[in-house]
Amino acid sequence: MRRAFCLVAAALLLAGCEAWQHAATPPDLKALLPESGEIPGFERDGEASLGQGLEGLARIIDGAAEKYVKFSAERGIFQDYAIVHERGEIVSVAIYQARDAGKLFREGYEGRRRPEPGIGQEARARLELFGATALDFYQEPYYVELSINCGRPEAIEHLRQFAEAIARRIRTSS
Amino acid sequence: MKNNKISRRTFIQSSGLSVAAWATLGQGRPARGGEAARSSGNLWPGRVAAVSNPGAVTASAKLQPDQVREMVDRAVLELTGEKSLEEAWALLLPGLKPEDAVGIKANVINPKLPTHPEVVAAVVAGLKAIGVKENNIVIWDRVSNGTLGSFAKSGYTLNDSTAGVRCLGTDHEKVGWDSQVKARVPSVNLEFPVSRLASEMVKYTINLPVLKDHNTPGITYALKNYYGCIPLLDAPLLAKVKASRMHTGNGNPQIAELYNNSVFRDKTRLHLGDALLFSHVNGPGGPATGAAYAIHATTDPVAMDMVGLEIVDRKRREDGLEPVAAKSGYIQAAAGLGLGVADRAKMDLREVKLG
Repeated sequence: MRRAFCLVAAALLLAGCEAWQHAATPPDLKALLPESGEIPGFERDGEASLGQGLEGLARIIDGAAEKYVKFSAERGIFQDYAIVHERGEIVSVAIYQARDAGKLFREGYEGRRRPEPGIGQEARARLELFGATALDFYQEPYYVELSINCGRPEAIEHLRQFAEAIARRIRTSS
Repeated sequence: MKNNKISRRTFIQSSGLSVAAWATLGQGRPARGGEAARSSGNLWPGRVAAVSNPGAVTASAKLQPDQVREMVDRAVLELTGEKSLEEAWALLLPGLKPEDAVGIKANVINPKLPTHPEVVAAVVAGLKAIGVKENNIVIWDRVSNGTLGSFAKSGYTLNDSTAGVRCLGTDHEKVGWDSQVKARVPSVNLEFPVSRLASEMVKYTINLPVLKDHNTPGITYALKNYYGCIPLLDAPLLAKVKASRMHTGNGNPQIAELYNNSVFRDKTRLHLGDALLFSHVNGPGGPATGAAYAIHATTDPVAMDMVGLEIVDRKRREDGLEPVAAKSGYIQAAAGLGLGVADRAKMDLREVKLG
């Protein structure tokens, strides 16, 4: 009887937590995402996904979530953008709110990188990708990852446009 | 590669002949004792066919379907030791009847680096060539199209109709979880229902993972792909809390224990690994970071994970990064359960270079 009570109580507590996670997700994370067409030629592809805590993030990025949470990420928003009139190329945007976004930036990635000046507090391009291009930066309290499934030289320019737009929105929101 | 189309009758006959041939011939005979003998799907413990072709992937990471098809066909022949594709597939899928379905467990959880559709298409072509009806071939993963994986974003077309090759997720209304067939994971005292696509809906499973580094077990390849066959994040609330135990301790030995359930271990007849592109950093959620230009074919998921681990760690060493082998204890645990061969010296790696 006591066990059953405990289980019911735990279930209610957890259900409450989950409901709180959805209800308490502040709108500002969504507000950091560029609108469709804001970056010329790119439209939002599908709905944004929001995740909070290890479980919420794991719902979206599966096993990768542990690493982000370990480096202080608390919640994140994920949105894809498709190039209009050009089939197949997708820009993926992930914005994490973290207790220490700089730590996430410095310790969360170990591959080769090249500094990309002028974006956020620090930005870099990731160099070792195959058939893709990626850029990440941080501007407290946010850590932002951008990638595109294109390895052509102009791809980094697309990502820079996204990064600059998001950095502007972060500045405005704070 | 020549087209090896045969009639369904010929296929069924050749299937029977091949099974009979195992029993009498020494060459290619399935193991019946010793290490890895517990897995009835593991016909050749330690044997991995590794076929590579740099021409199969362009500089912009686009796959060349014809070359990929040739690689898959060659890998299946090399693994089985057969001369013809129909004999090779029949050996791998014995006793298949026209009404039987074959499941292809892909991995589309990360659309930036999924099991490539071109590899799946090559397997589908092989199955069709031996007489498997199109609609009896089911390409599947955990989710059809959602945040946690997407066939559409990975280059596939969903199909739940009664015509053509089916492609859908366990979340589809016609699928769901099988409450009658449970997968046990003793070390964490858990029991899961399994996808009906792994149990009652198919006679055999072909496992088609993609090679990625993983922050928890070091890599995800053949064995870890079975996490997509059970409800974890998509489980009911309390079960979901319990399911988080599947990732503790780098998934060692949970990954091995999950596969050591008959529904996976015995029904899986082939592991076909997609290492054309792979990731060695920022996995499992990031884009490809390297190209091994390779397809691996085996009935031994433990040996295939060892091969995958070597690829990831070689690239990590080249980049001055810490190898992930120390996290990958689940591979040894799987060998300890008799699921395959983890000892590199005892493996039979059959490398073929094309192009």
